[in-house]
This record gives sequence, structure tokens and C-alpha cells, in this order.
Amino acid sequence: MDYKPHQAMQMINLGMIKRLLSCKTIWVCVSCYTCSTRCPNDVNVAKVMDWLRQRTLQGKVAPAEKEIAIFHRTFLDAIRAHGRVHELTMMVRYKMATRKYFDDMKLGWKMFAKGKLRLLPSSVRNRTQIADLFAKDSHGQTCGNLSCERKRA
Amino acid sequence: MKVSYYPGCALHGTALEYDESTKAVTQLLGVKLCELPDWNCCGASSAHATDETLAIALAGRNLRIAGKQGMDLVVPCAACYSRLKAAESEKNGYGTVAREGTFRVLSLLDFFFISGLMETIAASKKRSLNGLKVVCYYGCLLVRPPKVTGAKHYEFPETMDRLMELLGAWSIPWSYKTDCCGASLVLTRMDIVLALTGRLLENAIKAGAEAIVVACPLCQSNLDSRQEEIFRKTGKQHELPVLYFTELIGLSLDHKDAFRWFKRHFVDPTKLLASKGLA
Repeated sequence: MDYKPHQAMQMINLGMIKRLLSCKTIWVCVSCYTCSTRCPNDVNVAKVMDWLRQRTLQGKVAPAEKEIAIFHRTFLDAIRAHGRVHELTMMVRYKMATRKYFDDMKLGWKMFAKGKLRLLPSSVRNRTQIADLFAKDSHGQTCGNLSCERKRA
Repeated sequence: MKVSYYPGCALHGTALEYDESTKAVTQLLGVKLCELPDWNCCGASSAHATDETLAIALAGRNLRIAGKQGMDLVVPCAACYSRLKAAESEKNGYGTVAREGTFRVLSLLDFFFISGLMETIAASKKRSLNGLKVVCYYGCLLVRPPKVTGAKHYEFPETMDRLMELLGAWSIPWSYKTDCCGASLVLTRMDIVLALTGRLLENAIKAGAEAIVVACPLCQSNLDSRQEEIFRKTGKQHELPVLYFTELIGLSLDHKDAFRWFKRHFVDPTKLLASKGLA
């Protein structure tokens, strides 16, 4: 982490948001919620980290940890496709997007041999509902509400 | 007793033995798990990390379905549990719309505690775990954030420890019960996961543990499948089996499939169990 959580919060206080949007901290944060739980000022630090990541993506700032951002996108693409994450497909797509084709191959093979990697995805039947959850409104914001005005993204 | 069951994506894949052992032991204990019809992925960390509305919407769809089923919703995976609880506690907008009916969202571990199953296990137990020395690793999302999970003892939880003691294991107190394993960074920043899990494994051994007991698929996967990598990078060989708490319940109830679940692990628990007269 290039900035610790408490430093990040102070940077927000000081109006240094732009610098935060291009730092590694916000991507390396795994949302373990230790910070939010222990903050003596009751700041939900982890949720602020969520907000900073979302601002980075909305503002089209290049994420400082490119692969982590790619991972999140690939994960969500997998949900959009089937409503559930098929681990094998998701990992293949991630490796192709990051060109790290051979990392973890031995582990992946062992998982498969132990029956832990399904070959075929299992899908949600009502995929239209899933597509609706991903739909964006005219401002490009996800509305996620089944009854709001939307156009398919 | 009937409950709705939300397995989540991992229990259909890399955490298969968690799903198998959960279904096996609940059946023995007289609980009927009704898989939530047409459940969708909760969104895990990727959704809330990048799109808050989508995150609540994905989790919320499952709450709507659960509401129609009318039964308590039991969730084995800690990440799914965290996301479903987050959607449940969303007071405005989609969260309130998402929840229909009165039902509770319970982690599998909490379900064992509040539904009288501890007494059933005590009565149905076929064998003791003979003082098997374990540490219980709760991870992050079962207890944090306490405002969302409602966990009372979020710095030093003890439910899993009590369960292990009931089964006849010796559950050793240690300081790393809720320290993060690195979660989904395992694919993107493995260096961080290896450092965090390495520290957990070392401290488990320092505390005197022969095995680690977990209640989260990603924790189990990180702690179990990366021990070889840690050995390659640091020369430290831990050989510490990492077991789901449901697998140990199954062992204690003498379920015929227990050793099939153990075969799915990377660090084979069979040798350790044999040394305790449990194989």
C-alpha cells in the first residue's frame, strides 16, 4: 500500500483526491473491514475505498494496479454471461486478458484432478433478470432496480 | 427443520468438499437444505469494489427469491454472507425493495449455534476427535463489519472453537483468528497472499496447532493450496491440513464420505487423522 488507510482519509480531508485516484492503495485494499471496525472516529474506511475505486473507473483514470482492475471486470463479465461465476472460464479469460497464460497451471490442473473445477458452467435460468441488473440509465449509471428507466448497456 | 440454502459459486467449484460435507452433516442432523431456486452470484468483492448499485442489486435479487421461499437463508460462504447481509441492511432504495417477507440471513456457522444443532451433534456424535489440536480461523467477513453482521465478538470470536471442543478437539486460542488471508488478491497479487497466509500458518504452528479449521472457501483455498508455493519461495514447510468445520462434524458423526472430502485437499489430512486414531 503506497498510502496507509489513515493517510488516505487525511488526504481526502486535505482535498488530495486526485492523487488517491492514481494510487495502488485503493486497489490492493481487499475490504477486510479491519479499518472500518477499528476506526476511533467511526469512519467506514473500507467503504470510502470502494468509493475511490468507483471514482477512478468513472473518471476513466488508469488504475494503478491494472491487473486487479482487470480481475474485477472479468469477474463481473462472468456474472453477466451466466448469472454465476464459472471459475474455469473466468480464470482463462483473466489469464488471456493479462497474458499470464502459464501461471498457476500446475495448481489449476491439480484442482481439476480433484474435481474442484467444473468443466461446464451452471447458469441462472432467468438471464434476462441478470441483464436488467447490469443495465445502465441514460447517464451511464447502473440502476440495478428492475423498474427504473433504462436502456441496455 | 427446513431452511433455504445459498451455496454460492465457490461451493459448486473449488470449495466442493465444503458443499458436500455441509449437505452430508445437515442431512444426518435432520435439517433439510432447500437450495435457493435460480440463485445468482452475490457479486463477491468485485461488484462492491467497482459498482455499489450493481453490488446491492445482485445480492438483493437473492433476497427477493429467499423472501418468496419464506424460510431462513443459510449461507456457507463468508463472502456471500457478507454481501447478502450488506444488501439486507441497505435501508434505502433497492435493499428495502429486495427483501420480501420475514426471514433471517445466517452464516452456516451461526446457523449451527442458534438452531439447536449443537445439542443434536452432542447426542448424535459417534466418536470424539481425540484431542486433535486445532486453531479456528474465522477470517474477515464472518464477523466484520460488526454493524452489518451483528457479530458481538468480532475481535475474538469463539463459536467455532466451542463447536470443535464439543467434537472432542482441543481448540487452541491464538491471536490471528480474524486476520485477513489476502482473499481475491491470490490471482493478482500472489506475493501479498503468500505473505499473509505464510504468517497465519507460522503462527498456527507456533500456537501448537496440528490443523486449521475454517468456515470460508477462499480462506481454505489460500491456506491449503498455497503451502507448496510458500515452501518453494521461503523453504518453510508447514504441512498443516486446513479443514472445513463441517468436515470435522462429519468425521465425528462417522459419515461414510468423510475421507472422500479429505481427498480433495492439497495438504492431505489423512496422515494426521490416522496418527490420532481417527482414520
